[in-house]
Amino acid sequence: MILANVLLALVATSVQFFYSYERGKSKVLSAYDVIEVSFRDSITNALWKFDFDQIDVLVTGIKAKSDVLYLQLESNSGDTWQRGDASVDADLVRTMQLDFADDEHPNRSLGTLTVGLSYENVRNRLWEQLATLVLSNFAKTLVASIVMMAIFDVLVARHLRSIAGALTPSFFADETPAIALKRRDAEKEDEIGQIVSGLNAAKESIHKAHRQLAATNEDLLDANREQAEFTYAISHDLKSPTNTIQMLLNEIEVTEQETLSEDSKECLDDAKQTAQRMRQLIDDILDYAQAIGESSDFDWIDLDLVVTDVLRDLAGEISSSGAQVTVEPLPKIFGSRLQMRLLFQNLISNAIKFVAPDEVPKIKVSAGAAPAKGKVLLSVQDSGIGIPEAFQEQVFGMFQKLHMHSSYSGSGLGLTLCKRIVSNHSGALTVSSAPGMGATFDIVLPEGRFGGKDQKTVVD
Amino acid sequence: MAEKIKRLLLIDDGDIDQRLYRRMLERSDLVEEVQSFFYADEALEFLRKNRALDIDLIFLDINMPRMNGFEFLEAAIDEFGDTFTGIVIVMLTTSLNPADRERAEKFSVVRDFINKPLSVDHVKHAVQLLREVRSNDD
Repeated sequence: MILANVLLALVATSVQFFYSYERGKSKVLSAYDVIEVSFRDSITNALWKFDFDQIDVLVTGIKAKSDVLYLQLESNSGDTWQRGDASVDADLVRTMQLDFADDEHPNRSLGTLTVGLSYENVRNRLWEQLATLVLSNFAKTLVASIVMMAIFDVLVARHLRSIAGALTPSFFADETPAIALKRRDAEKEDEIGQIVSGLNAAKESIHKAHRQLAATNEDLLDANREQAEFTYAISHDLKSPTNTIQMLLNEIEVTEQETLSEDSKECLDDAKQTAQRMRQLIDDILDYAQAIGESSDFDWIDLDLVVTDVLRDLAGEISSSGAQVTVEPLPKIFGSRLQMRLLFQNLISNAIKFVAPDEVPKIKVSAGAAPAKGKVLLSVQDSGIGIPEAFQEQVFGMFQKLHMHSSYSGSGLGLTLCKRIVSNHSGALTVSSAPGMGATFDIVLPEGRFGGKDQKTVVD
Repeated sequence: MAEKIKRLLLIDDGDIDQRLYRRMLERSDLVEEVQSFFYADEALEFLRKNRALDIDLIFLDINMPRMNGFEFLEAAIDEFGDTFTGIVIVMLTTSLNPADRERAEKFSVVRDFINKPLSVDHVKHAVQLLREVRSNDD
């Protein structure tokens, strides 16, 4: 569009100049005609009279005319008068015949006068016109541009700058104020006004959503905390009566040793077993409730020391089962000492427990090659009964067991707890096993403070 | 005199629970033969191998390791289909979860749903159910 305009302007100007040039040229031609009309007769007469002085005057007079480059007067008698430089190329050369005629003498040629005219003045004038045109156009354009830019700036660019300036990365999240433009009519509803309204509205709604989210998060955390506390409180309060029942049953057994029937003795025994199962379950629930609670006690811990402690706690089971436990050097990790203790206690205790009858448990605790950058791999491997693949996911479920209580005791919470502990440490727990081929539990944990970066802990 | 249950299957993973059931059943004097299974998959295997056997009643626990009560029902109906309708099944549970009861009701073979502990009255009731079912079939 602009290009067409420019081309049109160029064409128009060219045409204009062309006509100007032609007019100029024709003016020069007219000038010659004037010269011819004015001077021919007088020169002819002067020639006839041989008035050389007059001829000089006239010839000089002609030369003095503008546009005349040179002139050459040649009389038939061989005299020449010259003014100007005839060797120069003239734009227009005209020759007039000088014929004298009066009453007595018919037309008699006395000579010729050649006049060379130049269009230089025309050209100069044209250049001047062009220069003026260009300069004036340039000036006009410059002024117009400046004015338009100023108007645009005041009406649009200024506001766009304000808007762009306000849209920092945190505009939507922040408590920064809404965008307010400096306009004469602050509530103007044009496109810019709409953009600003839109942005401000979006900011407000995001803000609102953020506030709601924060509030809901608070509520959730509170609810979680409350539930953990509740679970802990209940389990704690159940321990005492359970204990009492066990004591009472023992009492009956001891005092009525002689008088009880075999049937009753069997009942009593079953009751004691059940009470013990209840006690174990409560303990396991307590452990679990603690693990899902706060993770405030995170620090650098030496796993070698943790496992040593665990083995000391399990000394009784280890000696009665004859278990062989090998512990290889373990790394230091950033986590909860208590939870790591529970983790290894459960895994090693499981390894001791889940063996075929009369088999000796063989257990190895080791650290493997780092599975990825910034992570450590820990393994607890056993030679026990193994876990069929179909149940390898189920075993981590809450209260899920693969055996009845009389075969292998337990509440089905051990592996659930382990999984939760590993998750608290931003790690992963997996098992590889086959029936009769033992099981290997692999724990992958971040090396440092959750991968080396100083992030806030996942559970606050 | 109420008819007796000739053959009853007890499927429950608790050995202590099983002992208690037997006490109740004996006390009721309504059951002749009782067969116990601690794992549902073992009960399934038994049924597979003894298709000709006439089983009157099954007491079925819900929460069991490896295969639970519902899984057992689904597998059994899948394999034996109609034959099951002759057998009265009662689910035993400690669960107070209404969803469990709803789920049990979806199985037409389940005729009753008993909350543990099992009592003699429960056994009498089961016999009654059996008689009703039997008379409907005749």
